[in-house]
Amino acid sequence: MHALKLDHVSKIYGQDSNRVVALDDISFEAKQGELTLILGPSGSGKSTLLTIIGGLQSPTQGTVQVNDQPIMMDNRQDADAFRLNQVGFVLQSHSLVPFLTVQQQFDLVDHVKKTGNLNASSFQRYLTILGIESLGDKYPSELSGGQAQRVAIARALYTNPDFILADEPTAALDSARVQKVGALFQQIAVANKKSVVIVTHDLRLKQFADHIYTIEDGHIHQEK
Amino acid sequence: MFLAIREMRKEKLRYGLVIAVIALISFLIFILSALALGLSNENTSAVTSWQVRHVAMSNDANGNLAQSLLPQDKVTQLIDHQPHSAPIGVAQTILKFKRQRVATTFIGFLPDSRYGKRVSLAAGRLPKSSQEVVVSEKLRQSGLRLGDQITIGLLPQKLTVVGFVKNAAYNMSPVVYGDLHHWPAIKGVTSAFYASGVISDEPLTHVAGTKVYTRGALFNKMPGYAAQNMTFELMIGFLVVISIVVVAIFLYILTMQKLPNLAVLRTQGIPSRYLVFNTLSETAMIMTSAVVIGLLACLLSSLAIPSVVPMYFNFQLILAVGLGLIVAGLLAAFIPIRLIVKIEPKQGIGG
Ligand SMILES: Nc1ncnc2c1ncn2[C@@H]1O[C@H](COP(=O)(O)OP(=O)(O)OP(=O)(O)O)[C@@H](O)[C@H]1O
Ligand SMILES: [Mg+2]
Repeated sequence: MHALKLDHVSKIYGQDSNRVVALDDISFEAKQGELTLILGPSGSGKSTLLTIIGGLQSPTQGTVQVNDQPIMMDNRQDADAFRLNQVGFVLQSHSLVPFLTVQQQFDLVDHVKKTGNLNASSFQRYLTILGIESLGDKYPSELSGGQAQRVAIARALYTNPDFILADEPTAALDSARVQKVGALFQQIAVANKKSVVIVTHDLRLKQFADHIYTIEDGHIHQEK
Repeated sequence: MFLAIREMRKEKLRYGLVIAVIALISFLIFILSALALGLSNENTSAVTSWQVRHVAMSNDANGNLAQSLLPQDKVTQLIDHQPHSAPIGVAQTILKFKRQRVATTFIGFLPDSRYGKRVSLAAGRLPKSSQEVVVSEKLRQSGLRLGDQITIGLLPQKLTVVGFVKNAAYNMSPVVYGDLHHWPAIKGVTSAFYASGVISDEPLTHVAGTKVYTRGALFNKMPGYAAQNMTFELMIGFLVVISIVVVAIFLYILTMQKLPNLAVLRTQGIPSRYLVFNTLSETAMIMTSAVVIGLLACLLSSLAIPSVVPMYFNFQLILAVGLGLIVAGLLAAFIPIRLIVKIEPKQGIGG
């Protein structure tokens, strides 16, 4: 049973007149087998929350726990290994390496993380669900925004991580595709026993979520 | 390595241009080193071929053997109890044959001198009498042939060419090897003077009025030799510095351009060690291919360069220069590596 837990987390940027309270006393938990949606307008603190959940920066106050262990941020190698092995990031931009073909994006992962990646059949299945199975030889510059986004999703799933953290994964997708991707994230959470956390302002994803939080000016409250 | 190879394949034009610029610089460095060595050989090859270590000459010559005059008694004192030593006569003079005139250096040994026998023949044989000489094979280009009669300096009689010798240049001129007894007449000094100096592969004892030089000191005292070498060393040094700067700038720009992508890779947990090693291998590939292209271009152009331009390719020197360039490139990679190490993984999460 794996879980990510934030306990009374605050993040404050800057000092004095530049002081910004990006996150204010946030407690929440992302459990195995569940899809958690965090909704909020621009500047509300979504990306900040994601960097703290993903072990990319430390909170000013409060604690982050992975599987009941405080997350290791002090040692850079441990933090790198945590992100490489246990977290799949779907990011807002520049997610794909421009000089690698779609297939090579995954080959790169095999070069760095030699074991525990998806086997050929589940990988193929994901590609088919995402509708990118025929794009292997294309470079990112030859993909549409939506195609690139779906490749980035496949890339995040490829390491078979416990946690999927997605920042606006549906920003460039049309409604039909949003339905498919939403269902895929839900399926990954439920069938593959992963914790999926999506931060977004895309309300179309609400129907797939087990838990919904809204965040505004750094304050969080649970909607579902 | 994986990333480096893919990137260079995808961005052929970009990396091709980078490699072309560095190849041009390395081409220049190779040509200059071959020229430097070629010119330096034009000064030293004859002396080097005798394998001497020490040279004694008159104090007044100030290290210039061609200007030194020693009387018989000084020579006798110098070679006394020194079985390895031998007198030598050096005269910078004009060689005349078939209405041709060529500036040469006459070098006279005693007929049984061990040093005279160390020269390597390209054709013909060593002299058997004082009427015979062997000459630098370079003089073939002026039309000199085996069996030709030559007039040298102020010597009234004609001598016969019986052999051509490799590596026979002294202070930028081709050498004519002959009998030491002709030396005063060729140089136009009285026979009170017996030789220019005494050479030996063992240290020489000091005799009043003379000075002993090592081989290196002798070369450095040759007119123009030190200045010439220094000029080339400076040019080559500057070119290496320029190539470091050029490589550093290119790598910096290339890395800056892909910084957002590298940040995402860091976010995804790809260790910076992997990215650093990747940059190093990319640099090594760029430098190696540039050096190899530069070297090939240098070899090709050496075929096209007329033989009056002295170029000498020394495999060890070329290897050293090539490796030096590659190392210089890897040093320059320090700048992009700093950029990569400074990336914070959270930078990959934009907005
Ligand atoms: N490094 C930083 N230094 C100072 N302030 C920051 C920094 N990063 C974020 N902020 C501030 O923190 C607040 C939350 O920013 P964050 O990027 O988390 O918002 P967001 O919800 O992801 O917005 P968007 O939907 O536009 O991506 C904003 O007011 C922002 O200006
Ligand atoms: Mg954001």
